[in-house]
Amino acid sequence: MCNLPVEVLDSEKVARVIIFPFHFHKKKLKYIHRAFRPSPGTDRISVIRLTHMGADFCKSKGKELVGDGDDKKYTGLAVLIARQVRDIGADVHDVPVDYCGHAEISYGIVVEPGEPLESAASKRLREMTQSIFKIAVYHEDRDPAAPSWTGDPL
Amino acid sequence: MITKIRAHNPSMTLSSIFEPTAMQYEAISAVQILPQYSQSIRLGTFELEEAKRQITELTTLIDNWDGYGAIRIQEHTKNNALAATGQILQFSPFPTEIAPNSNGTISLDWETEFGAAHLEIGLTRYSFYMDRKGGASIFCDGSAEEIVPQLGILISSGLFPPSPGTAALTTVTENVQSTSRGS
Repeated sequence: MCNLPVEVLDSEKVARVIIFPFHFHKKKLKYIHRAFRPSPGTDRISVIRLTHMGADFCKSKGKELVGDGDDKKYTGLAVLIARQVRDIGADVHDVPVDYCGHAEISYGIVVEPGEPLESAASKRLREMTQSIFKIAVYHEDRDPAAPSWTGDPL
Repeated sequence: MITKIRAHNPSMTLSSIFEPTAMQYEAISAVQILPQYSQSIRLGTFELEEAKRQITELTTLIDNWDGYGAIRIQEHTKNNALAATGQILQFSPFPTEIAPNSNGTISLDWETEFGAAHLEIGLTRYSFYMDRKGGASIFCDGSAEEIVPQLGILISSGLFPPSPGTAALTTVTENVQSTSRGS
């Protein structure tokens, strides 16, 4: 049973788990807007309701996402404020069906599996993900092995 | 108005690549054709092999490679990307980045002080756009099996224009009589 309010308030913070290497520029080794590209077949990315769930929960989910394999690793959290997300034309929704505290940012542009978007839509989506990237505040986890968040408050 | 390029147009030329804001059209700077073609091909071959290596490497990704449900790059998408690089890198510099997308497509990006270009290749289609600073955007869509080298010329001329006053390069490669001072 999830008792969180369904409405994601403008003032709420949500966090996106950042994963190496796929959210990073291959040469510059910095995380980039690709971290905010929608999942296949959707117009959405997964985020966690940081304001309600707290940093420790977000970190725990991040480590759960990458699993035990060596191919990817959790590196930190990108924090967004719902109002800023909405200001660029995207939206934030509560999606507790996956787990309590789960939310999604929607862009209104669905990415088809296996195929590129039409060029104008591709440009629009890139602009939106770049805007999201600019407003996100990335907090690198300096101690990812620790069970809880040990960095500055998010 | 944006007019979509037909997906199966084997005779596509630059004229079929459209710019939606025609009123803001600015002519692309002249394409620099170097007389020493064989020299540029040698350089291109090295870059082409590196691009092919990077693209081929992407097919080792398995489903959920990004932790968020990404799908793997299919063999046909890889082959389309390999063929495209063979066409485009004849004329354009190496991309700033070659990267997989979570929906199983492959992106090639170029970025310079003059703007950015993005090519995304999938199972049956590709899409391309280029933003030039101070100029109109260029859009192009079509069949992933028919990506034409003109895109490479577009990228090269739009993002890597020759410096003003650049002279044509001429390299003498044979029949050179060496002379020494005072002989």
